[in-house]
Amino acid sequence: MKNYKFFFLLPALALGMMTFQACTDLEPEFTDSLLAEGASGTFAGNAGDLLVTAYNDLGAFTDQANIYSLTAHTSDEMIPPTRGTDWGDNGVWRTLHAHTWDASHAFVTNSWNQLNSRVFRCNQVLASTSPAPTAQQAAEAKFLRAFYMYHVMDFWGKVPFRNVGEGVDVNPRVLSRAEAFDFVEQDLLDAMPNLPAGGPGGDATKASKAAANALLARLYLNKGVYLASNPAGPYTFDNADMDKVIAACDAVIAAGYTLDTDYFNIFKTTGVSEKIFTHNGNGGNPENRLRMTLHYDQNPSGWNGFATLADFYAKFENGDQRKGKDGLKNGTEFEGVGYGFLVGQQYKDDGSQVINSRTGLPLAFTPNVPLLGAGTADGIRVIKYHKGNYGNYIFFRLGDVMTMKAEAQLRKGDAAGAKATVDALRAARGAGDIGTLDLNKMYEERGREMYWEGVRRTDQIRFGTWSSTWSDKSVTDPTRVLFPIPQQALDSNPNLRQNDGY
Amino acid sequence: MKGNPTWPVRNADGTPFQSGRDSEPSPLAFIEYSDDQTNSLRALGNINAELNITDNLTFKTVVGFDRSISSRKNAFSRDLIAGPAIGGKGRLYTTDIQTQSNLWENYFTYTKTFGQVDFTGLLGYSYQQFQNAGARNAYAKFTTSDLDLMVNNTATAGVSSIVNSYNTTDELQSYFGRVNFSISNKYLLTATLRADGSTRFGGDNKYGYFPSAAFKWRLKEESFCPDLFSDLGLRLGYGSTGNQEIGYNRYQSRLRTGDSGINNEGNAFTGGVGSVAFENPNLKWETTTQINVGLDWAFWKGRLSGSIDWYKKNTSDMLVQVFSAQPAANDFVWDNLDADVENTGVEIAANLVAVDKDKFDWRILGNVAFNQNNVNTFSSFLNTGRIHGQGLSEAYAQRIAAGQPLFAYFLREFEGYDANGIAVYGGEGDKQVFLDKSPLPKVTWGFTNQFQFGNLDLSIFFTGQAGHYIYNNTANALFTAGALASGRNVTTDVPTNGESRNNAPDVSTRFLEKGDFIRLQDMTLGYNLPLKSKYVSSLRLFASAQNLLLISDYTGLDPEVNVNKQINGIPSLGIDYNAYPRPRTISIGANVSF
Repeated sequence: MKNYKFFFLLPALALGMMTFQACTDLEPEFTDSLLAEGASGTFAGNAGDLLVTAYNDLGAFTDQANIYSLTAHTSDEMIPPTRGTDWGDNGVWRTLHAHTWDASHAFVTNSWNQLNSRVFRCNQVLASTSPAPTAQQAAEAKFLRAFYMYHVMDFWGKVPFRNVGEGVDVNPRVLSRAEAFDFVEQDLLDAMPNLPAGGPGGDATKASKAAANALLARLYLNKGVYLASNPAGPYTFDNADMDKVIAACDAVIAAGYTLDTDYFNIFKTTGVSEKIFTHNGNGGNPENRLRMTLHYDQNPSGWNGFATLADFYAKFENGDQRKGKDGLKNGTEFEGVGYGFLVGQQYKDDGSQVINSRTGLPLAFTPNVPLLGAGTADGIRVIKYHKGNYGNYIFFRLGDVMTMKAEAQLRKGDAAGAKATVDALRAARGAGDIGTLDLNKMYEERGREMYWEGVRRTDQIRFGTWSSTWSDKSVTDPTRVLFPIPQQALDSNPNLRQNDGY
Repeated sequence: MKGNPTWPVRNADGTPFQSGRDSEPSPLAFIEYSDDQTNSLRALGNINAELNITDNLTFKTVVGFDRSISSRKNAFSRDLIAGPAIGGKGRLYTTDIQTQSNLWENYFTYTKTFGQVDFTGLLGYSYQQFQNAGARNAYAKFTTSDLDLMVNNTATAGVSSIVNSYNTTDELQSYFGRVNFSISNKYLLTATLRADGSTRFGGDNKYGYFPSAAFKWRLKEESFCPDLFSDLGLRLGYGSTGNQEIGYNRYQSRLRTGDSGINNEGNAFTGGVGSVAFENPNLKWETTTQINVGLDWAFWKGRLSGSIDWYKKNTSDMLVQVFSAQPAANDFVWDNLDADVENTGVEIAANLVAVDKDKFDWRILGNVAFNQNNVNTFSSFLNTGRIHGQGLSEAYAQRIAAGQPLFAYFLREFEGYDANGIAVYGGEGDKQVFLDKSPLPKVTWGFTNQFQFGNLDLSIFFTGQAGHYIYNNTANALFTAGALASGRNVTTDVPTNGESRNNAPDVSTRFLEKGDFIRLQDMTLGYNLPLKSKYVSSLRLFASAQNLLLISDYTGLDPEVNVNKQINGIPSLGIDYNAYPRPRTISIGANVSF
């Protein structure tokens, strides 16, 4: 009996030992991913491949939610009304507009993750060893890191930082706003020599000297805000910084960009003369910009969402191209939809009236719109990227640079130079002489040129209108110039401290 | 799927009717214009052998394997109107999966009686290996609407994409020992120690050590036990167990190229290189430790018997996907949560033989369990319970935080509508707050009556839960004045409840309902035919019904519901969203023995 069992035992044991290595060390081979251990700061990544991802990652800015929503809905250029079952979305939109967001706001949290993880991706490019980045790739990664980190500094006033070799067990150190300012500036200055020149003949989807100068201009223009002892102000703008803004803007202009005399051509594939830096279309495109505002019954069918405020629209004079124009209405697909501000009756591609399927009435957008419980036709819609033809999503363009230059000239006391810069811009836009230029007119001009392009929040803070009131926004709490550090981010890193007021 | 019930089934030419709306495909068109086939092959087996080394010592070895291969082809014809990716273009996805798991287990058992002591000892080793590999492809822009051609002649696709492939292997290795002592058949003691090792953890954390011990004192065997008891025993137990259920290698920094694919316009795109995991050398086993005390008792020769148990269970180092401290390679990272989840409860069971006569027998079996759950010492929070529906992006209904039960509801306090029909919220207004309400039942119970009249028997089993709440996402998404204004059908209460068509139905207590219920879970009537046949030894006829009756105030279909509404891998509980109702089944049958 004993032998009989032994007869089976031996082959079973042998089979077991052949099939498995007895007493494994539990270190199996990892065959479908690349181990990239970050010992002593090195990283076995491929710099070129990771840089492609870092560029594609810019697509996050094309989303109507998250990063873009923090720049737009918080300002006086955009309102996200709830319309019945639409756009309630757990209050994420209306709390941005009303300045009642808190530290668990989903878009504040998501934006924190998106921007900071993109900074980390750029760190990975710079630390890669197989192969390591070329001088130009390293410069591009530094430009992108500066671009992402600039937004973290702008939104939250402090910036966490982690080197590639530091894992989950390391609490990232935290840069103050002034330290982050220096970091961003240094990255751009370091990158500059190894970046291509840019210019309208260059590849606007890649970092260039022109793009780096445009970001430097934005950085120096807001330096008074970023280095203020109280983030809520008052702000002082040094002449030396304004000179740096002007120099950076002049360097961009010298790359050969020219103002487009057809304003809405800028946003098409055909408009290249103003585009300094754009997304490449991988991982996002401008489609959301038009869907987020158009009505369901328009062509293309929209999500019946965001509108501008009546007071913002009132700042535009007739004749100014930027106020908008009708579509061709000639039967070509999507040509029923106009450009710029869509007010009043809306049209189909063939020029006939759009009927609102929810009410049975002709669809006519009205200027006044409440934040809560709006009707489907309430509020003026805004189209810059048109479904008929849109190009890549723009981060920097010449109109932005021209208005930054003019503002810097004005702030350092060169009113004549500022007026000349503004009038040159206005001439291209079909608007008349600005008259006597003051800061308020400069602010309005900046709004007319850059509406719905993601800069209004920063402009309002710099011009001191952020803590005023507007339609359905009665909170005047000056601590709202900074967003709260997301509660879960605070909990995850003991080195972070919450911003004042939250 | 939703649709207008007045739609025709077919068009005049015999093709399935389609609404033309991407979000409302007709079910028949879906069936006729799509094809989903999976071919699987599975082989499994195990061999074991046992050796009696001495009369007291035996050795056993077990070798097992389980392999499966499956291939899935999922085709959507270009004729199906269901979104821009399919309509006019057609889509085919192919997926090939190979999985295998192997097991090798060896152990020695030693049994010996020393006087009044019976001893059993066990010492063992086990090894398991799990391999998962797969590959996916996508095809679009077909020149044909023929589903067979799409699947079997893939060159009819204008665009194809090799989406991705993967191949992962995990291993588990355990060393374990157990001793059992029985002393005078009065004191029973068992103790176990396991060392479990897993490839899911790195460095020194691969192994977790999990001891357990249990003791039973048969008080009935003691001379001081009153004769009133026909059985009396006291049980004490302590034990810890480990959990390693997280994804493949989350402890090392790894890079992978993301999925390629085909976008809605029908153009192929390629994925970029990115981090799939972030260095986390501290990742380790999750541990659950339980202590329990129990008493088994019986009176009157066992006619009334039962047990009562008290337990306390603490889970620490929970493996959860948490928020990364930015800047980070990934927004969320698997980590051991610095929290302690505690369950305490009492379970009582009692069985009574109410009548025990020759022709009539009646037994009553009851059990009731009380459980209390609490999250202790957690310094952050995790949102879960995603609420879906139009205008409900970013909406969630539950939050895990210290001082609250797991999955505690976190909602606005709905108070009604203002003069304009816009929702009014109490408490902190338009803000979500904890409400001291959770989806975890405070009480669950079962109650069974068994009757026997001669050859006829009847069993009636009721079950129930109480003290918990259900979030009715179905109502939140579909039954609102705004939905009615968009031309969708709603429940009868909606048109008259005062809500404006322009109101945003945000997550609130408006859609939170009590989950208490009593269910007639099972009723079976049987009859044993008295037979004296040579060939048939017994014949029983029965009629049985499950879920015959449900008593509940819940307005949805069934309060015993749990649709997966996780957020970032954090599970949810007790949310209803278009869940299939529990079926009511009635079966009649016969059992025959030959």
